[in-house]
Amino acid sequence: MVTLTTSDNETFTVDKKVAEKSVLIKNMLEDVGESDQAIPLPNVTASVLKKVLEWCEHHKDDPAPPENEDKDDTRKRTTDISEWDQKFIAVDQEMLFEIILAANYLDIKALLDVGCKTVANMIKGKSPEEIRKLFNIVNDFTPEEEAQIKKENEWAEDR
Amino acid sequence: MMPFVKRGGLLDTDDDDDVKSYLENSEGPELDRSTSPKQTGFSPLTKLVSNPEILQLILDHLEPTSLVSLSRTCHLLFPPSAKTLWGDAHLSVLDLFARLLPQGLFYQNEDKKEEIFRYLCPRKSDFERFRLYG
Repeated sequence: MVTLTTSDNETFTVDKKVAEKSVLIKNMLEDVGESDQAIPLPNVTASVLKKVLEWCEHHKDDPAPPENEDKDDTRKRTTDISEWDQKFIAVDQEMLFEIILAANYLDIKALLDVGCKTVANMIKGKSPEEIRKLFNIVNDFTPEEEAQIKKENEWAEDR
Repeated sequence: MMPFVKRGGLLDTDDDDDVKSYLENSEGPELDRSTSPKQTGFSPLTKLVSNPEILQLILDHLEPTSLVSLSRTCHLLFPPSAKTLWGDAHLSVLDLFARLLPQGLFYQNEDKKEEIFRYLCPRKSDFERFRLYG
C-alpha cells in the first residue's frame, strides 16, 4: 500500500498498483524504494485526488498507452470516450479543469486525454459567443478585429 | 464604476497584481474558487490556458471550424488557436497567405496571364498579418 498526502493535509492509502497509474508517483516510489513514508502531493487537493484515485482504481488493469500516437489519428477520435469515463468526467467546470491539471501534474496520460477531449467536445460546434458564455470569457476584441479574424480564417469554416 | 474588461480576456488568477487589479475595478463579489464562474466573473479556464501543453492537447482535438470559433473569442486564445489551424500539415498555406494581402496589391496582365505586377506597396500591418499566421 502507498500513502499520499494532499495539499490540504489529507492522507489517502491506496493500492500500489492504483497509485502507480501516476508516472510521477511511480518514479517517486522507485526513487525512495520500500518506505512507509507518505508521498506529498502539494499541487493536488483532497477532493481532486479522491476523483483521480477513483479513475485510477477503475483503470488499474488497463494496458499502458502507446508512447507516440499519430496526431491526426488523435483528432479523429475526439468523441472516443468510454461510457464509464463520460460519467466519471460529468462534473462541474472547475472540477473538470482541476482534474486535468492534476492528471498533468501526476503524469496520468490517459486521464489527461479524457479531460482534454471533454473540453474539446464542449467547444465543438459552438459559435465564439457561445464559447465565451460557456467559459465566461470576456470578449476583448473590437468588432473590427473580430471581423478581420473571421475574414482571414473563413477558408476553414467549411472544412 | 466602469466594468473591468481585462485585455487578454481571461484573468490570471496566479498573478496577485492581476487579481488585485480585478477586485479594485470590478463590482463583482470576492473571488471564491468554490463558486461557479458565473458568480465570480472570471473564467476557471484561465489556469488551463496558462499551461501551453494542456491547451495544445485540447486544440489538437478540435476541427478547423471550432478552431476558428475559439480564435475569435479573445486575444489570449487567438494566437494558439490560429497557430494550430494554420499549422495543419495537410494545408497548402501559400494560397491562404496570398489571400491575407489587401485586394489590389497585385494585378494580372489581361493579355499575358503569366505576368503579375505589383500595384500597391504592402504596408507594415500587411506583413504583421503574415508574421502572425506564419
